[in-house]
Amino acid sequence: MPILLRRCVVIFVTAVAYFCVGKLSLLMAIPPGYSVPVWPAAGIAFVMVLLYGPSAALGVFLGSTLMNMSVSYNPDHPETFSSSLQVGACIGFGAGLQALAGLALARARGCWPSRLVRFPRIMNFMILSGPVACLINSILGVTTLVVFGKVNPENFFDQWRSWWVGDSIGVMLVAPMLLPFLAAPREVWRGRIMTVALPAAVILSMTIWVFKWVSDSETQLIQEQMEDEFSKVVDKVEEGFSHHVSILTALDSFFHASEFVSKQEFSQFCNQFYNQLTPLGIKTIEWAPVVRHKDLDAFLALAREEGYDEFQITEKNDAGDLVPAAAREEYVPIFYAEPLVGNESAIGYDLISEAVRRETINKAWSTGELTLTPRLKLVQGTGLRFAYIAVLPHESRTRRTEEEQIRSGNGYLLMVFYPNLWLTNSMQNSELPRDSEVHVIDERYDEELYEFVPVTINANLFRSTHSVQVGDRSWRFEFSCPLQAPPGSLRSEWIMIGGLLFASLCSLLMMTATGTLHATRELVAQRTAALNETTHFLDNIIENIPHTIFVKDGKSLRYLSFNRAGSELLGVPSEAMIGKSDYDLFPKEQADAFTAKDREVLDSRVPSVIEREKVSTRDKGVRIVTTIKIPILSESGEPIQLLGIAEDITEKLRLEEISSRSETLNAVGLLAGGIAHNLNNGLQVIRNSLELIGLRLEGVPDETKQRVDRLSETAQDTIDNASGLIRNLLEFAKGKIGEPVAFDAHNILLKTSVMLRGFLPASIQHELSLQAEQSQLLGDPHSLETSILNLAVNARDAMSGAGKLRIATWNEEEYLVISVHDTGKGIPEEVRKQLFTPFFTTKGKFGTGLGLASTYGIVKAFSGEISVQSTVNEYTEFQIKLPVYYESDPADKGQTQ
Amino acid sequence: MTDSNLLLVIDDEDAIRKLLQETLEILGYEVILCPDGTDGVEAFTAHRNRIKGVLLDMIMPTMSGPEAFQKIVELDADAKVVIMSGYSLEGEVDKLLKEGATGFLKKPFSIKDLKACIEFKRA
Repeated sequence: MPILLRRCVVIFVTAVAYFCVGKLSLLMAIPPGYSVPVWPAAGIAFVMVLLYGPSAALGVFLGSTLMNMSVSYNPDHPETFSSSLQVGACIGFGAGLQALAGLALARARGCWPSRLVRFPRIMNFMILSGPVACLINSILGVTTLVVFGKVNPENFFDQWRSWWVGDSIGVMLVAPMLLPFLAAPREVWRGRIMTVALPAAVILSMTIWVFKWVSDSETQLIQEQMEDEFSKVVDKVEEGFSHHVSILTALDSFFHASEFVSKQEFSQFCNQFYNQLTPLGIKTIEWAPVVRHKDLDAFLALAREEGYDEFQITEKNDAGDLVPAAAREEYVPIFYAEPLVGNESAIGYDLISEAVRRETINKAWSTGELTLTPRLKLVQGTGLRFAYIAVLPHESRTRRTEEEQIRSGNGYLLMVFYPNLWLTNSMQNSELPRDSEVHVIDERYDEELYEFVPVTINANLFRSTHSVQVGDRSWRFEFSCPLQAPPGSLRSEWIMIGGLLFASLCSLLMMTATGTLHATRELVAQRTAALNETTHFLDNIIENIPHTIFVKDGKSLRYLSFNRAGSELLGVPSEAMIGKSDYDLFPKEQADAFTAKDREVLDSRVPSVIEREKVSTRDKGVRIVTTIKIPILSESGEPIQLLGIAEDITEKLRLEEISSRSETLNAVGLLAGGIAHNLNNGLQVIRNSLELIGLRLEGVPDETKQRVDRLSETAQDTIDNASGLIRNLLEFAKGKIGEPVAFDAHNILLKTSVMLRGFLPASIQHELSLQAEQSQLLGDPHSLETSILNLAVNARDAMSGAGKLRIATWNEEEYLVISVHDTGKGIPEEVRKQLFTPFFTTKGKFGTGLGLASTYGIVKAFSGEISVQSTVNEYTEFQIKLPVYYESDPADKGQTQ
Repeated sequence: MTDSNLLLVIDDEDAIRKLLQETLEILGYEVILCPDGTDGVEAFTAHRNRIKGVLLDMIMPTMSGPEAFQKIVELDADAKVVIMSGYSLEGEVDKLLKEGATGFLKKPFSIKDLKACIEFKRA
């Protein structure tokens, strides 16, 4: 991916992630307002910058700016856009800067790039990228909010603290949750998905859940408390109104009880309530009698009697000025007003003259109950405040005379009050939260009686509506109040912060644990590899050593280990050896001997060499081994195992035998040369002398001459024999036979067989079995013939007149085997050992002791081998193994020495 | 090749030299006897024009048969040399025969063998 495109993708993804996570985080807001216990977006910002480079900071800036704008911008007030943009940009800048600072700090302290496996480094990483880097935006952001008037400067520290804690935890929580999915090297981080990210996520979810639960219950509690406060306010208002009513009712009773209530009496009566009037917002209490037109004069007289010097019934003209009332059938003029001061102008004002008041009094009269006017602008009123008039009809019960009727007739008791004053009073004396918003609305006329709107407007308001019956009206109280608990009283906040801290601490610990685990695993892997290498190396050595190496348990003497050479020697797989004892493997007498020696070595704790021990094997018969048995001692010196190293010396012994034989042959060769030279010279002298004697017998009688000649002939024969012996000796000693030629051994054997028939007695059966397919040899055919004849003669002598001689051939690999088998007396073992030694003979004066020795030399000249097997009184079999000659074979296999 | 009957016998064994002298004289040859190779080569040098053939033993002190053979052949490539030996090393006789020795007498040899060997028929 081109680097520019990649950067754009990183910026875009970062911005979107920051925005979305930020928005989601606001759901966790702790009342009131913006305060969020954790700000995971800060963690996302840090991780993105950490993993995808500083360009991600631009994405952080964009995401944060948009997120903060969306919080502070109110679409209903487009004029807030500019300030939202400025606030958002400032906070966004801080967020980007903070993420970059986290990266720079982590790099500066060598915490990144790192696999984060060691505690100090993880700790540094977390602290630097969390609490340290997060100082930046918490200071910058809160300062911005203060500058733009979003936060009261006196709340700076609280806001900073909650911001700083939220961002720090956000980083310390999100980094361990995201890095396992994204960071490299994967083999370290992948393992942390389950061990770090998952537990952190679980703890986080649980924390949020518990927080939500506690927070909801707390909110409910707060709501209930508020509702309580609201109810108190409403109750108070209701109570106040019942005071209004009771005052009027008391007046009503007073009027009933008195024949006539004078102005003074009215004043005196009302004064007893004086202290209650102001808190209840009561401006004036009035009495307005019903005056019939015909009684007008009497009434005016009464007014003068009561001290009203210029009393007249008035009404308002179109211009709103008070004028004398027009004549009409009835009037309801305000007659008494208490307090009078300030209400003078109201005296005489005819309530009937004005439609709203007229309707009210008519309604009051017809219902007989306390009735309220709609909101009024008062005659005597000066301010902008609205007032209400509560009207209680008074029906006279004692009307006997006209005069009585005039003095104590029907009328209306009025109470003028300012609900605003009354309600304000009620509110002020209540324990409503300061920034509660209150509206009181007269439901009939949908008129607002009272409102209180606090300076700051908050989101997350708790709203409650109550209705109060005020006379014939229903007043609706609308409360709205921010859900706010007294500082520090919220358990949910501490649960949240505690839970998040716990989660990030857990992450920290799990990171450390997994890091240490990983480091340990690596170390273990390295060590294991090294150990394996060593073990492999040692195993290789042990396996490849051509001697049997075994280890037996020190107590049971069962095999614990057995190497390849041992397995090959015994013909038993190494695995099958394990757990076996010598009694499972060898004949009892061998096993007894081995075991005894084992015990001896273990008991003495001293290694021991066992020379030339016989061991029965599966495939190789009885072998001769030399074994070193070594006790392996524990630290306390107890023998725990027995190490055995056994060398199969069978072949070595054989070679030694051959070698000593060869040395004998060499010595014989040298000796024979000397002997031959001198002996032949001697024989030459004797022969020549004899011949000369013969030549010198001139003149000797024939008889004598013949006798001498006979003697001479005998001597000559002896000389020939001696000379033949010497020749044999020399041939044997030289091991030299004729020039090597290729020939078919079968032809020689057939020829030999024919010759044998001549000198084998009839009592000896003779069998020739030529089975070999390859019978071509390279060498001296004559010497081979001599050898076979030699063996056959030996066989004949061994059978002392009767038996069977069998000559057979077969191929074994690249060899031709010639077997000469007789059913003679056999060869005892001690004889077999010396069989091929020159001058060794069992035939007394009839044997030269050179027959088998020269056969041996001949076989060697063919690069072959000769072996003998025999059982006394049963059989003897000589096997000559000679390499087959292939015409095409360039190697001169028959080359003699 | 001279027509003389002079033979040079080189052998370190006194008895053999004397018996050969007697035998050869019976057979009609003149004989010069030498006890070793050095003397033999000297004698051959001195009488080579007259010497018909040489009977040369193989194993002798001071100068062995093969050495003496070499010297003699160097002096006269056509010299007739008959090798005598009761024992010789591997292939030595064959070698001398290939290099021009006329014949080989294996001790103990008979007069008949000797006679046949010293006729020196032209090849």
